[in-house]
Amino acid sequence: MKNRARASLYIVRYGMTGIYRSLAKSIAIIFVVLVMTILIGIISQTIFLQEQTLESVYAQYFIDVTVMDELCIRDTNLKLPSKYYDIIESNLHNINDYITGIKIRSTETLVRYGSNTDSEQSNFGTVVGLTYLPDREEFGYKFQMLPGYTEEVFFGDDLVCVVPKKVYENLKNKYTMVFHGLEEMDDPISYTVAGIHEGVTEDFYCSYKSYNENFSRDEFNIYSFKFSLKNAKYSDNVSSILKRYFIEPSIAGAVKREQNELKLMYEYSFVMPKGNLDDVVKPIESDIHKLKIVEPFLFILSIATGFVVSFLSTRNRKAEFAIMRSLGTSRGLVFFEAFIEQFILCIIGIALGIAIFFVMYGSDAILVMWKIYVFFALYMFATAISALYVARLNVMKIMKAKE
Amino acid sequence: MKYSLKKIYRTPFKSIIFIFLIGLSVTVLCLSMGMWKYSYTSLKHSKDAFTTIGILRELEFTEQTNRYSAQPKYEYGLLGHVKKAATESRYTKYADNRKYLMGYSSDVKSYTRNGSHSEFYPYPYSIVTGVCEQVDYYMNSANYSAIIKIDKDDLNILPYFVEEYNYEDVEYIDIRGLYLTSDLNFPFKVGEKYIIYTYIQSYDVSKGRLNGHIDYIKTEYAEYSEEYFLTQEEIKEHPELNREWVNRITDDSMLSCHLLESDAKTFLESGNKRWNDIVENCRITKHSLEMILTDDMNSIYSFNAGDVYLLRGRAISKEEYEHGAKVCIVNALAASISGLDIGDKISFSVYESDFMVGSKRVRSLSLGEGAEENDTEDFIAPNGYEGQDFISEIEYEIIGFYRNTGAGVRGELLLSNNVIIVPSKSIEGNFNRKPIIADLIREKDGEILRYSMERTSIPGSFSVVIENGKINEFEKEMEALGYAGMFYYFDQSYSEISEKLDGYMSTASTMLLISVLAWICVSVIFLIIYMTRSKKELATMLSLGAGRVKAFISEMTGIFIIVTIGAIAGYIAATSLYEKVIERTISTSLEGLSTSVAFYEKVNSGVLMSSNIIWQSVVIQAVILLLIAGLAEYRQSGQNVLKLMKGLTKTKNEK
Repeated sequence: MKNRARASLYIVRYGMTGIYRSLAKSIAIIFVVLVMTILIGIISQTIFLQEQTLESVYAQYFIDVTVMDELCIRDTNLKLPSKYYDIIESNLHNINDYITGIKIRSTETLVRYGSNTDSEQSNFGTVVGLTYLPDREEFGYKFQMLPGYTEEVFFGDDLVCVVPKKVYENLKNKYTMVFHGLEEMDDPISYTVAGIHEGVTEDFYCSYKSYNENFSRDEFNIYSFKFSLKNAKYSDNVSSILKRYFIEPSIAGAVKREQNELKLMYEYSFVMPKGNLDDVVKPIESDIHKLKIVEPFLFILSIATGFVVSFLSTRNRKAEFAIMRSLGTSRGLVFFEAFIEQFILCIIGIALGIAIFFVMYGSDAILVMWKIYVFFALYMFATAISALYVARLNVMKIMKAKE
Repeated sequence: MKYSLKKIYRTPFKSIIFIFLIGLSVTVLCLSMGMWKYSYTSLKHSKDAFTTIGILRELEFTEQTNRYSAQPKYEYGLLGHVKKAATESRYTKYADNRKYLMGYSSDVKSYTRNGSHSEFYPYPYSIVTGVCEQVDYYMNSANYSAIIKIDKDDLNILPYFVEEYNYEDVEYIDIRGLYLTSDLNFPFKVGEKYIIYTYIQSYDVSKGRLNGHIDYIKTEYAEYSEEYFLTQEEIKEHPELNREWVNRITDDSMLSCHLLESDAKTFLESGNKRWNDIVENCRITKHSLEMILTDDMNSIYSFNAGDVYLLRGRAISKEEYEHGAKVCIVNALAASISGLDIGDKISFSVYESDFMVGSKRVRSLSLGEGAEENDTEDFIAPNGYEGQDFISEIEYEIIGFYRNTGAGVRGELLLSNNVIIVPSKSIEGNFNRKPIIADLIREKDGEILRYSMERTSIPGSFSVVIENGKINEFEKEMEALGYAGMFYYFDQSYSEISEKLDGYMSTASTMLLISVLAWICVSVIFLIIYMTRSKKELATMLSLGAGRVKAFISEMTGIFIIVTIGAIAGYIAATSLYEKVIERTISTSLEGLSTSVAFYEKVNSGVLMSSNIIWQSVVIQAVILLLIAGLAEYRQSGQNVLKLMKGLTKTKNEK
């Protein structure tokens, strides 16, 4: 045992000496391993970085989607059936994961309003259902929510409304507005005042859902329908969802004569102006895609290169091993010597490669460690094969320089 | 050479390993170079997708018509010099001097939504025939009002918004006019039928009638009119006027209405040239669209900023601009009301129109609030057809429709809804040389002053396309010439995105660099291992009397064969891999492209598919390897035989 240990130690020292004696070759092998390690890491890292770049490019684009009539002429006064609201409310095909700033505006309905349920004391006005708080440009006057209320109220079915400021100031009870229909049999509905606007006309605004339930005279009550994408990268996802319900303008311009997923005829279209997004992003996407296809090949090629270098380095020293065998070194020790030398060189190369990669890319280096393990394993496997082959060879054959 | 071949044959396994090593390193490097080249071309295409423009606000150089307009920031005389300097800048790719013409075709209709002059002038000018049922001054208004019952069976040339939406309901039109006849009567008499050339402004839903004006902008014949103070007798003679002064026309033949004794057709056939011209001009204008001749639609602010975008079809390509192809992009609204579609060909009779200068409010005013500086802005609109000669007749193919996200109001940086875009080289000629006359009103010491100014260019017709990323350099150049701050720049967010794209390219370049290093390392390993073996053989050959040259050639032949076979194997592997990868990449990336054409064309043009880079890099690698090996062998072959032998002995002794 003691002799074995001493022999092993001697072999290790011999290996280190061998490395030192063929310094140029040793450095070259370390360098090959180092570079291959970095190459393997950098291929994966490149894809990761390119995808990050793509994300940041997408973030520069803001895409609005507008529903329009069949021929893409009008985006207002659409008379869109209320069933299209289901797309948002029921989150069909998870569309809400991709969109934001949903702006659905209803048609107007004439109503009577007052501060109590007595319809004879009421005045005439109009109600419009919305899913958003409008800005000044839309109606020509400013809107604001009262304390305790946010724009979110427009997305629910709570009975809240926005009233003209002058009406609000005259309300006896500043919290409630009562609406009556135009027919005598219509029941009065009480709404809580959640906001005010500075318009001079008797226009009232409530959530689209409550409008649809309480005020709408027919189902064709969506006046306009717009929204934005949360991120430009969702343009294809949203496009494929919308094509289930709307026509997409195309070169052919063909009008669809069939039913959509809501069992309604394809009578409306959508536009999603992307500007130069496709021209900017498609080349990058295609480049990343190409890299993903090539990555496994490059990985295999890098490993194969390491495999061959290791194999060659060991086999090249056949004569040396023959002399060791002729001097009485056992096959096992010969194998061990060849193996340990390559092991040391490989470990140094990999350690340096990982260190450099870590300096370049920080903690992301951890993500590619498994690939480096594979490289190391295959490199040592090649060394083992070659060393085993050399250790088993007939000494006299090697001396005769025959294989 | 025979010896080298025999040597390779005698040690096949080792030779194969060497070839395999060379082949592998060549493949890795070639693939990396191919990928880098693809990345570079893709990235270049991405960057070329941006257009950076510099525009001037010509309104900052001009006195505007509204009396409350702010003074111009710069002298008008500077405008020409600034444009010239910008055109000649070394950062300017090209300058786009757009021309404005009109094209008439009986197959098209101009779009109007109402009679707003800042949006739809001159299209609401109409011909109406009907009987006057009532005429009077409206309260204290300067205009009289004549209610005309429209004769729908007679000649009526009405704008789109009337014909399409209101015509079934409309029976009456309320014609307002400023001028009385020369004998101080209303131009309309109750019970009489008239043919009227009027500008229809709106449809009054509550009264169920149209509103029109007959003394409006181009039909306000100021040179044939005067303010007239009535004498006492005249006041008594005309109690219906109920005022002390009136506006009256001095030449009754210039009135924009004419008494009809029968119908319009008979009247026109009688040969009245003025009215035949008016009717023809009105008809041609209604069926005209405004043509913008440009060298790049992305140099137009509205397209560049995304206010206007391609809805269907495709954009005009670079080649089409260069060759003056007869293609056009039409406003989607105008196209739909005319029943036009992509691929349709329309024959336009092209003419050059005069322009009028109007003023529009750009800030909403509260009730009772007066306009102040910067509340109004001038706009330019064509007067339409007024009898001028046609330049030529040209057939255009519609290749795309654009949509205006705005209302289509006219403005320096805005596009109206009756515009079609054509390549400037599709029509030859030198256009828009006639100055535009702007009538200005100013107030000085309580006195109203009216005077005219000439404008030599159309605001919004000029922009420079600057090299992407060179805005600062361009502005510095303008600053050096004394034109600092005059230009406004729009680059479609290139400045934000280009940094990211540069980072992208640096990552791709890093990968290539590492691949090159890998190749170098493998080549070094190969050379070291091969040279070690070669030393022994060289020493043997030299000691047996072979000449140095022969020995060198013998060794080099062996290296040459191995390197060549390895390079060929690497080339085959790299090429087939590269082509397969590119094929798959392209087919995936072409999915989902909508209006983008340029990338589609680029990809199909073979630029990206070319594998030239592969064989070029193989050749370079092989040559470098052979050169280095040759140098090493040359050095070794020149060494003393004993030294070569000693190198081997030293290794043995150290054991």
